[in-house]
Amino acid sequence: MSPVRRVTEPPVAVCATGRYGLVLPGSPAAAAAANRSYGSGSRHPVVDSGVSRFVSSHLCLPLSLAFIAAAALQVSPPDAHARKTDRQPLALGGLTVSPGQLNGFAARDLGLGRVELHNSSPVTYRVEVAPALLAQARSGVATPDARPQAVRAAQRHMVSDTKSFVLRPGASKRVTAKLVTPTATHNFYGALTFHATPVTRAKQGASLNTAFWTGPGVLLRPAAKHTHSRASLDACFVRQAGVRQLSYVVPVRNRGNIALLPAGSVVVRRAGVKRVVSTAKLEGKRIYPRFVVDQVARQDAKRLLPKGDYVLSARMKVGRRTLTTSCSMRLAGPNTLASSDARLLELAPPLSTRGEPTPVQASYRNTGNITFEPRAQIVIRAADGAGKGKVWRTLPMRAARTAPHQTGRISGIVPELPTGGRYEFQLRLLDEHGRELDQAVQLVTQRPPASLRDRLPGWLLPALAAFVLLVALTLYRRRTERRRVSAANARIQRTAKRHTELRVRRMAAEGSSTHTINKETYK
Amino acid sequence: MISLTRGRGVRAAVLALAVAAFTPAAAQAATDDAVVAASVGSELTMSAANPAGMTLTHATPGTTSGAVTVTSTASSWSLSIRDNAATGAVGNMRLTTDANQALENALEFRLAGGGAYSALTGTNQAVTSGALNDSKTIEFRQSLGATEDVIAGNNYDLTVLYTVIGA
Repeated sequence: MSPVRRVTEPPVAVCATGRYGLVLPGSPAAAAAANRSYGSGSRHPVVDSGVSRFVSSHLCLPLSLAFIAAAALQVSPPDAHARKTDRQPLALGGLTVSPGQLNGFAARDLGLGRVELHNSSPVTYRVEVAPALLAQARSGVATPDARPQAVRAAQRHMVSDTKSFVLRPGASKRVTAKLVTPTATHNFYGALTFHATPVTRAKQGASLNTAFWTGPGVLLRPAAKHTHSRASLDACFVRQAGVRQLSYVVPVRNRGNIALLPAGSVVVRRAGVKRVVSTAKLEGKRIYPRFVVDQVARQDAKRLLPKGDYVLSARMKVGRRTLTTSCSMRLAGPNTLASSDARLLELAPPLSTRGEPTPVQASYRNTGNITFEPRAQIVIRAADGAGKGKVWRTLPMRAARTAPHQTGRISGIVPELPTGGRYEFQLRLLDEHGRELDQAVQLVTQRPPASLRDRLPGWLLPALAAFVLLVALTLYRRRTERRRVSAANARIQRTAKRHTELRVRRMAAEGSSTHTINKETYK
Repeated sequence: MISLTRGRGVRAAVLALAVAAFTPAAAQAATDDAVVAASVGSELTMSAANPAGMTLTHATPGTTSGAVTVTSTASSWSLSIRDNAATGAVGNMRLTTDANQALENALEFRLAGGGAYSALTGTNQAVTSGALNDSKTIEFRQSLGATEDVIAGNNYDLTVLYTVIGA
């Protein structure tokens, strides 16, 4: 596709026969005029008065020259280009679907009329025409449901007279579609889609081509007496949409058979106090049957709610009924949601031995702004065999309490696994409401218990060490005992000798002869 | 005007009569209002320019951007994006001469003006929403793997599919 052609560049003077008036640069009329020059076929009403007729018949040429001069002057300044590129282009070459939406009541063999696809781009497209059912995301975005079963269902309900065609630049193609099977008691929320792929691709460097998938939504209700307008609200919750920006979210489930457009508001009160501190209007997003769409209300950023606990009450009018739901909110600071969030850092590969419990170790980081202990659980599934994917057991794990930005440990024991083979250990980190914060998976292959030969070295070494220690201890004790005994004997001998010497001295002092003394001494 | 003298008032009256006398009869005829009614038809236009080609090196990821303009008579619309290819290495740029050879990393995209890049996949991912006439710029980024083997001069491409349904 060629670069975008901007319609805001030169002023345009339109002086064609039967169409009078002046079109100013950048105006919608200029865009329309440019579109006409590209062959888009769009029409823009221009002023047709006596004055303009006079101007066109007498002053057309001079004015045109003046405008051309003005254009030249406008383009000539060096900053002109930058200024113009800042403006949003109003008309680019592309694909136009007309009508953009088909509304009505479903009925068998209902003709949907002609849908025209016009190519105002310089690219030739190959276009595939296909009916589709609508899939709607929780954000409210509706897209064609590309699942094979949905595509087959759409093809059963709707047919078109053309399946594919080539659309050249400036060409148009009309496609007629018909609803085949739904009766007046059914609905049909789908689209007639045109999948346009460029016939030639850019082949320079790493390049991107552009394809389109567009078409009118075909929104058909059942006959009035068969319509059911039913809806339910899921529990509301609060989302931190930015710094000091809160979004109140009310999920609405459409249980009826027609599209619903709910309207309502959220009222915020301090916990335990009746006084309303804030009210926010919920944006009404259309909900197609079977889908859940989050209706969002934004807290006024100028009105800061201080730290504390709050109660939210949502009230929505859906069809003829008014539905209510409520939830609580804890703020850790002004318009700052208390966030108990966590991320798993590591789940160590568990070592599992057949017939033995398996220890599980993991760590996480508190990524919220309050101290808390997340709930952790391990889900064990068979990873192979007949029961592949089947949950064998879900067990709680113990997670340590941690402060914000700190790391905590998760641990637990998984009892003996039932059979051999591989298991998938999924560790889930949950908040206090059971919402999953993070998860990690490890595959565990059970190992057989170690054989006697393998285990022997393991036993022998400690036994040998214990024996050596025992022997050493015994020897040490014996040696100590021997020393103690010899020390005691020496002490006795020293005492006896001293006593003898004392007696000899005493006898000598009393006048006994040496002979007697010696005799007595050796008695 | 309050400060007019009698002489000036007479002159003004004479001038008014003269103008009335010389005015063509057609201008004095009673006018009929012809009401031209118009109602807005239902239409949906999507247009986009091909983003400029990127130059890929191991040191610097290639970046480019493309503007998408949606003109709708419906009050709101949502733009989704995905890889146009349904098979093969969906989301990865492929060698133009051999679609079986794809780059290691997926093409990434984001709405211009910040936010994190997301990998392009084979399923629709909402990019943005708008109302009536609006133009959005989408930025693309393609990085090469640290040890990825690529040959200078080889061309890779991918067709980005923009989806807007009138619903």
